[in-house]
Amino acid sequence: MKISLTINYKKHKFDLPVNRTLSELLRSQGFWSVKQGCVAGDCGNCTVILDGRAVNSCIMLAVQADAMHVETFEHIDMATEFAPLKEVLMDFGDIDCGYCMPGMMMAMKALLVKIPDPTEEEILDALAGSVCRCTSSVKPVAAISEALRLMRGKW
Amino acid sequence: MLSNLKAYFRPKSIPEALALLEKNSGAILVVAGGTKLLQIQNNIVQELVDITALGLNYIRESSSEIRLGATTPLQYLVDSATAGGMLAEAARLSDRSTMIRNVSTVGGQLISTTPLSPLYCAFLALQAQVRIAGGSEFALAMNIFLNKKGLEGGLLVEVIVPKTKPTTFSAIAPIQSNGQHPLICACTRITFMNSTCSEAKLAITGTQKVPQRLHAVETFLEGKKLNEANVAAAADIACEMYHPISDAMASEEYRNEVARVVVKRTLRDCLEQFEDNLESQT
Repeated sequence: MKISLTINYKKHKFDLPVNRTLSELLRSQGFWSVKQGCVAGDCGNCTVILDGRAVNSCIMLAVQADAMHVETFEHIDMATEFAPLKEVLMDFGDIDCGYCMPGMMMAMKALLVKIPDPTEEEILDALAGSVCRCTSSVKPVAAISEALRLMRGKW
Repeated sequence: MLSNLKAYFRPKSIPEALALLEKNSGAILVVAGGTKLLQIQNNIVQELVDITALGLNYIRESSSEIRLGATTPLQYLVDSATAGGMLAEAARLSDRSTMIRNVSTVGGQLISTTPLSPLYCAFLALQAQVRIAGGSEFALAMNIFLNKKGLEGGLLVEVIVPKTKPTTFSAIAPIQSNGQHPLICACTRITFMNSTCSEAKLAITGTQKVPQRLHAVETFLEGKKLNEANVAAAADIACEMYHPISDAMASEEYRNEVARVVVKRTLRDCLEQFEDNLESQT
């Protein structure tokens, strides 16, 4: 089936089998930040932003995203958009393997676009579908809350 | 995953969608968010009819009701000031992940997920109706829809929630589990008249395989003051009249005790809202 998709602000056309998931398509195009963790919508490691909303790309067919805009972690500039986050994550001892981080960053970006100054509760809610198996979700949430405090006013 | 899927249709109108569903056999499915379909590894389905282009993504308010389009994502309800209160909270509890709620739809909660969804429970307590297109359009009360096996070739297009009176207050109380839905969840709607409960609607999910309306509790509460003794008595009735299921998630005894707690919580919450409302008026 033929579809058109805008990925990170670049237009693409694909002819693909209808059962291809969005995460499979993105990875086949070299967007390796889209991790295939549980492939059941439980871990959030495949999170991308689809037309402004964070979604699990592993439980969505690529054809469902026809004519939409997908944003992946490759498009995020950590040096500018999330400047203090890298240091804060290291300070909090948050990153072990880093597998969950792209998905978490995409969930966080979708939250910030919607709510520039989120509360702790809103951060917890936004990251509830993102699982970090190394550190539990306590450290990532604490680190992201601290980074948001430092970034206040930037979004 | 969907290894036998051969075709995917995205009709632009309801008649077009119904025609596609009518001409095909059992190997065709309706899809909106598609989260459940992809999770269950369905290798039977051969064709999908995507209904997201039918214009059913809306929350519309009139003086007497709120209409929720079948393909409205749950997160829209969570964020909506119109839906608000119990509906928004029930939508939030229906899946803990925002990523899923951004895609999973109101119609999907009623059709493709287990009836343990808190949203189903809230719709029961709010006496919602579902509107089904197909042949001639018709509406079904939520409790009748719940007991039907299928849509008989029709297409669920919207859920209609009647608006409540200014003296009506609603509350939801979940007992969360690690799973997708709360283990037990109660939804209550109480209408007060001079500090007395004039109408009560209660529903609970997680005690049986499908959500239950607690009719005996409703009858007991109507005409009574919502004091602590009556709240406790109502919770006792909820436990005595309805024998919970027992499974790997929780025993009958545990569910019974939890049902008592959540029923009490919703009743107290409704009373608090009523008293706060009285205070704010004086």
